[in-house]
Amino acid sequence: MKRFLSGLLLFSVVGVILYMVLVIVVGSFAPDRYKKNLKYALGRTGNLYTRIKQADTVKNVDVLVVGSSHAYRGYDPRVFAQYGVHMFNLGSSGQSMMQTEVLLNQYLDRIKPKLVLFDIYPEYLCSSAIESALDVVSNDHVDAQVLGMAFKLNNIEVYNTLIYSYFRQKAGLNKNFVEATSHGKDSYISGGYVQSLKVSSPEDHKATEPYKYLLNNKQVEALHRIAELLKERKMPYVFVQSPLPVKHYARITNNAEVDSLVSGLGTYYNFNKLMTVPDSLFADGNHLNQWGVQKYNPEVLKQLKLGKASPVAIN
Amino acid sequence: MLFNSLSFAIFLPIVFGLYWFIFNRSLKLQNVLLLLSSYYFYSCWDWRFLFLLAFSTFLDYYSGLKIHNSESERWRRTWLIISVGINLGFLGYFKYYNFFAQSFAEMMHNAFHYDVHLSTLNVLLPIGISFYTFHGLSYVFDIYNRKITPSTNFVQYSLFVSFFPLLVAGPIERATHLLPQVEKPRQFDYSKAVDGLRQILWGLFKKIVIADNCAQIANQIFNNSDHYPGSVLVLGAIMFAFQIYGDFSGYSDMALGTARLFGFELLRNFAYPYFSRDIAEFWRRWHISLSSWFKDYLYFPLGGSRGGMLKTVRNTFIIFLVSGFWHGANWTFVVWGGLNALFIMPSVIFKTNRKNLETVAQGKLLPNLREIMQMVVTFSLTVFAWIFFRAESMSHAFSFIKGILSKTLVSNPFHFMELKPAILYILLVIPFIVLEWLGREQKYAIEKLGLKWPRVFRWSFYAFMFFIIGMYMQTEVTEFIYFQF
Repeated sequence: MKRFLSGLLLFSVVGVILYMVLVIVVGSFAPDRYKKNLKYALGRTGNLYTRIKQADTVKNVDVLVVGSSHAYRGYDPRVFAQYGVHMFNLGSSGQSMMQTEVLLNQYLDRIKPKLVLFDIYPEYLCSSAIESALDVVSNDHVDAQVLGMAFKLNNIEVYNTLIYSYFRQKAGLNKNFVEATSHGKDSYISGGYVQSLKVSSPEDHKATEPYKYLLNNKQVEALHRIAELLKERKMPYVFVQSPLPVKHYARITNNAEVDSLVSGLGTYYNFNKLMTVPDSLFADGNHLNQWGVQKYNPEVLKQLKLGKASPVAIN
Repeated sequence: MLFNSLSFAIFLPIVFGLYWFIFNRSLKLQNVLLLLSSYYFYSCWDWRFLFLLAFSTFLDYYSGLKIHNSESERWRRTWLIISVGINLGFLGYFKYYNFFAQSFAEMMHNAFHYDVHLSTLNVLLPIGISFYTFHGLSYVFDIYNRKITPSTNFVQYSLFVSFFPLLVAGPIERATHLLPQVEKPRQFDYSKAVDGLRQILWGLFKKIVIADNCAQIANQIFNNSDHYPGSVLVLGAIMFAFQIYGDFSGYSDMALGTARLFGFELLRNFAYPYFSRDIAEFWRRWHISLSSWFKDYLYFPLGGSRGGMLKTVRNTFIIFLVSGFWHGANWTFVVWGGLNALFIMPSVIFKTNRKNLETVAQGKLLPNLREIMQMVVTFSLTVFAWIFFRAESMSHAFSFIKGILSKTLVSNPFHFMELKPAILYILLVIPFIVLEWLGREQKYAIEKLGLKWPRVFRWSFYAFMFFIIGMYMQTEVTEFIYFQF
């Protein structure tokens, strides 16, 4: 029995090492179609790689924006600057609560914002978070926070990608990587924002069937942890839901449930109730375009100014 | 709790540790531990069906004692009928009631235009009921036939019925084989335990890499068969053939390997069926524990091959049709059984059914041309029959076959974007077939592979298998096909 157990233990160690070596070899040399559960996506969507590089150099901003594509496509640092507010946007594609938690843990101390603006797109309270986890694992620094997120998700794609990403990070293989900052009518703007000059078509707004947000417990728990984390650090924060096309918002049958959940955790502005944005100010079925952002951001700042708890001086 | 789940990966080492380190002083305690673990394992699906399992176990245990102790033949038979009747009654109620009710209503409607309104039951099928019912039945049959004496230890008998590696999908054990192992003390054996782990690894590979990936393509094609040309439908049927083989034989390998960790040897369930040279050989190599069950408890009591050709043909059809029906309450399974009976008929009529008893190309690296042809024909017949097994209904099966027998049979099946991953899965299946071929004279393909290699190479091979599993597994845990039976 002793021989069996010691052999098993030794094999477990050797096996894990060999497994990691094979992931690295296959990750480095095999074409994508043969890497089913290794989805390394350096600089592919949402410019997270560039954003993270900038975030490493940014300090003492007034507002730190976190959230999904609704965040990085919805808050323009240039508009905020017009009101004397220094903002950095740390949104990422499909960023669910679990990834927001990781990014806040990594960057709160470094960036030291006066206010955290958390854009909540409720779809990501429902998501399994795998896609956005792969984005974070591929483009962010692999550290204890990212590792913790991987364990919470317990997904083989995330583990494999994490191993490969960590190898690339340690081997310095991404040093010379330059991410494309322009994709058609979308452009990355310094400060973490992605500007879109697209205008949605009627096709983008044709869906009419009602639907419901099916909240994922893991995400709801992560949202609670984020609120706790910010409270513990005495960091002022607001939750915001950015506007959706009117018909789209009306299709959702449990907006009240989401509002109740989020407002129970802190100051919350649901801009679907505070303003109306015409379909022409959207880039697609749910993201604002540049003209929409120019209309929306002053409204956000107005609300922040009205909110007495806001520590940010807004002109 | 599935063998390929994280919860089982936690459950198994805990039971293993308790079994060999805490309860190792007493056989009685070890058996109690395994029994409780098995009941816990079963309750992870639905604890309510534990009562059914316990009742069925007690019924067969008690009936066995009564049959054995009855002095008159009449009472022996009465107790046998009670046991068989109640067991099959439960099976019929949970598994077949809706099928019979619906079939009867359809028949009345089609034949007499008379609508019968029979209420169907909205009940779950207790997992493993077909398997543990057959365990119990073999026990009472063997006592009735005076092949064995009944167990007088309820814990030991209960463990024989509900031992967790075989509880939900077999192999269907015999009291003559497993009960003596339950009754005698078991010593830890290093090479057996290592062999068990190796077989579990091979089973995981078959299930996770082969079956689950082939299932992606097979499901896509079977669920949208009207939209695909004949070549794609052929691909779908072949993918299903590998799916069901990887799924069920992978499960069996994991069951056998797990049991070996606790010092038990279970009945072999698969012996490289796709390398068979005729259908008779295929059925000696596919789901062996069920085939031999039907042979011993149905085919032989019906007279077997004694009594002339007509009787042999009749008995052969009966066991295949019943076997098909055992798999599920759907005409597609019955037709699948009937087709196999048809395919085996030439062997039965010309008495060549015991021709290919040894392994194909035994002792050689490659088969000869004749053997290749025989294997291709047998595999093709098997794949054809699987279409009925996999189809949702008879009309689905017929439209699928009609689609195959069309002009579109000669076309590129990989033309469709959603089927592109099939190329990768075929690339996984090819080395799998090679390994199976090279290991076809062993209990499982990698039983002896690398045993003489230096440890570093052998372990690298196992790590490579883990890597392939990790790289190509589905991200969600998938169920085993045979759990529904």
